[in-house]
Amino acid sequence: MGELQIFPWAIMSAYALLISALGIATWRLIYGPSLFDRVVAMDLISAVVMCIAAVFALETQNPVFLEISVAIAVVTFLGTIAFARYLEDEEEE
Amino acid sequence: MKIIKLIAFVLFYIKEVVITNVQVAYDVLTKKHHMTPGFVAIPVEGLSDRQLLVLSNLLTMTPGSITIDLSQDKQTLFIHAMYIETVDEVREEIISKYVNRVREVF
Amino acid sequence: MNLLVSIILIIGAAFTTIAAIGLIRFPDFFTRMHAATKAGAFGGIIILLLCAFCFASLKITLIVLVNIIFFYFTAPVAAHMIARSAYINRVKQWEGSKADELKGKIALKQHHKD
Repeated sequence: MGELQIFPWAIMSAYALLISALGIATWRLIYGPSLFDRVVAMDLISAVVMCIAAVFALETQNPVFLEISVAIAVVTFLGTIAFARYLEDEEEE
Repeated sequence: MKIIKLIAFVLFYIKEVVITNVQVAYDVLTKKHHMTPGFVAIPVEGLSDRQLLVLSNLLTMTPGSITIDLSQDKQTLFIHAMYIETVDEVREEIISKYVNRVREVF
Repeated sequence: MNLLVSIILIIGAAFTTIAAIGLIRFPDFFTRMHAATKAGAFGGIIILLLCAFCFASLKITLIVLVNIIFFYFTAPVAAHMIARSAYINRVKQWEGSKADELKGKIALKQHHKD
């Protein structure tokens, strides 16, 4: 009985932790003192969304959602690299 | 023989990643900042390009260090380390822990 | 069995949250980078491995392994590039910093950029 009910609770608390992480990272994204802090915050947000997709796959027992995390990993990598190059090569005034 | 060394290295690396992650988590959750960050130069003479790639990726994924830059002549690796007692100590530690093992294994 | 899966799931989620808290609490950009890129990736990898373990099929395990390997190859590259770009753009360092052996080894930009 107790064993049957512990898993939904774990899923719910994992969601709670991940969503609070999302909120905290968004704070840094908005108030970050430099542009680079914002880029790192974006990076962390995408990692959190990857985790949420994986937890959702566990909750629904549907492995299709795992492929979301592959796609997110690819897109974020390219985005961060593009930001880094852009900020590095930007012409000076 | 090389396979055994590779497995030993992977086990060592997993242990290292877990330990350093817990260390950073402790630093995040306690009130005082324990870290003493700084940039350190690591000499990496005689490593091939493949070894350099592996070394810099592995160093970045352990939460004590981020690879920042490689000098033009591929002799020095610059990292940002998080816990520095003295610079020489960090340099010694990274050379004995990672550089020598990477040189042997890969 | 269920208990073990639950505990590991919460540990993974907790590491991601710790990464986010570190992003808020650490004093300068480079230390924030340490917290964000690695603790976050560690939590994600724990949760993905847990998925592979729970679904227990070959196809899912392959997807998870591809994901983890891709992550392990790209996350350091992204972290390295953004940190280098930040150093070149003269992002401020914390006053508790101990050493700067990189000084003078890279051409910095003229103006401080926010």
